[in-house]
Amino acid sequence: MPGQHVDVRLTAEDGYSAQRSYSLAEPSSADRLSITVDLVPHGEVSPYLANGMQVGDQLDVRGPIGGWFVWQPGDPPAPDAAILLVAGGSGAVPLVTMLRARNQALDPTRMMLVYSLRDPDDLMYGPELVRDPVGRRRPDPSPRGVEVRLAYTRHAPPGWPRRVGHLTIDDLQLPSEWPSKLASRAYVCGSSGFVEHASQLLRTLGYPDHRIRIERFGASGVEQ
Amino acid sequence: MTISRGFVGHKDPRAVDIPPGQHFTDGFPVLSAGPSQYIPHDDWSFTITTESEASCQWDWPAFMALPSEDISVDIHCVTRWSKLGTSWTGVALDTLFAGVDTDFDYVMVRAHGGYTTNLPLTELLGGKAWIAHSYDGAPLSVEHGGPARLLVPHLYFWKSAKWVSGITMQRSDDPGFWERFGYHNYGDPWREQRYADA
Repeated sequence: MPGQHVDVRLTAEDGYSAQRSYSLAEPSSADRLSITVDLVPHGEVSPYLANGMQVGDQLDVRGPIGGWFVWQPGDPPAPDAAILLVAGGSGAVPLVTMLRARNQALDPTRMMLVYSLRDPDDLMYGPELVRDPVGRRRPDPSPRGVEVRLAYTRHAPPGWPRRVGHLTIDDLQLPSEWPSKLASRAYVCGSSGFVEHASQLLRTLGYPDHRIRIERFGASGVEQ
Repeated sequence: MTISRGFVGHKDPRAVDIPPGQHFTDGFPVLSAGPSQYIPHDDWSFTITTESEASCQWDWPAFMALPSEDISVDIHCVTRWSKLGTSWTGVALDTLFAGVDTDFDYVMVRAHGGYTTNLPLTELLGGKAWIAHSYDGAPLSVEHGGPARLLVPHLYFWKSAKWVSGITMQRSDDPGFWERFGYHNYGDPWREQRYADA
């Protein structure tokens, strides 16, 4: 399910092994799964996965794992429902997986992705989320019922309409033309500091705790 | 086991055993299922409820008046990081259960925000668990579960519930929050009991 992760184990010839968890980048199928690897400088595992592996190399994978920070098409089964996805940096990985699943399934659930990032160089999935090379939302409407907002915190493309800075309440308000004021559920993924900030904004907006699901990551948690 | 061509890894020079599948961290990652819970001391209480509906309850001053211990323990997270020699101060569950009369063998630990985790009562007693209020000599921060969290270091750290509010005795080992979402009901890191199908 979108939002799940897999455990990856690499074993060296002398038997030494290292394991890490990675979020699924696409809904998995029976014979194929996809992860997105964020290269950690001097990391133990990500440099090997990103730069060392060649087609035909092998590793051990376990999973997919996880039943909480997941979303499936048809959830919730209500016509006016909306799902809010709040991504900080590479926290976008499991959330874009959810968006991909929604679009692939032609699911009618409205989804808003608010993607906080430092500057245009950090944008992941750029061609998929935006069309214009400077990073604006594509002029033709997204699949109906999908809203993507990029929140730059340090540098924005020239002429960007949103003020550069951290997330605010305004960034998390659903589009006024959507029938619900609040999403049925909010998924927040990013560093611990980002998640704390975003959660407090959601509470201020009126989201009860049980409608906020969180995945925090860092160098020793779930990798992206 | 599959050999990954060309993988060498960073073998840690510390010649200390950590459970299988874990790696050392010098940081202290923060993980949670939901938002952090902010509980002022004036609103804080800890309650043990038995099968007869009797309960023992402490407010913050009463809890802090109980004898505390300083302990140094290794902790192991199911997301694969281990942190050695972490320093905590807390009240032993042995102290809290001293006046509790129960025939039930299992507990459901409850926390603010709705998080729960289950354990056999034996895993909380005999010097194996504490309600911790301080970390590294300072009051436990909110992001790490303050004002107080359960600390039961011999099991995976999801069992050490943050923002703990109480314990309810239960007749059987009914699963708590993560246990219902695919994680192991017991969670012994040395037997690598991470997931329900382990």
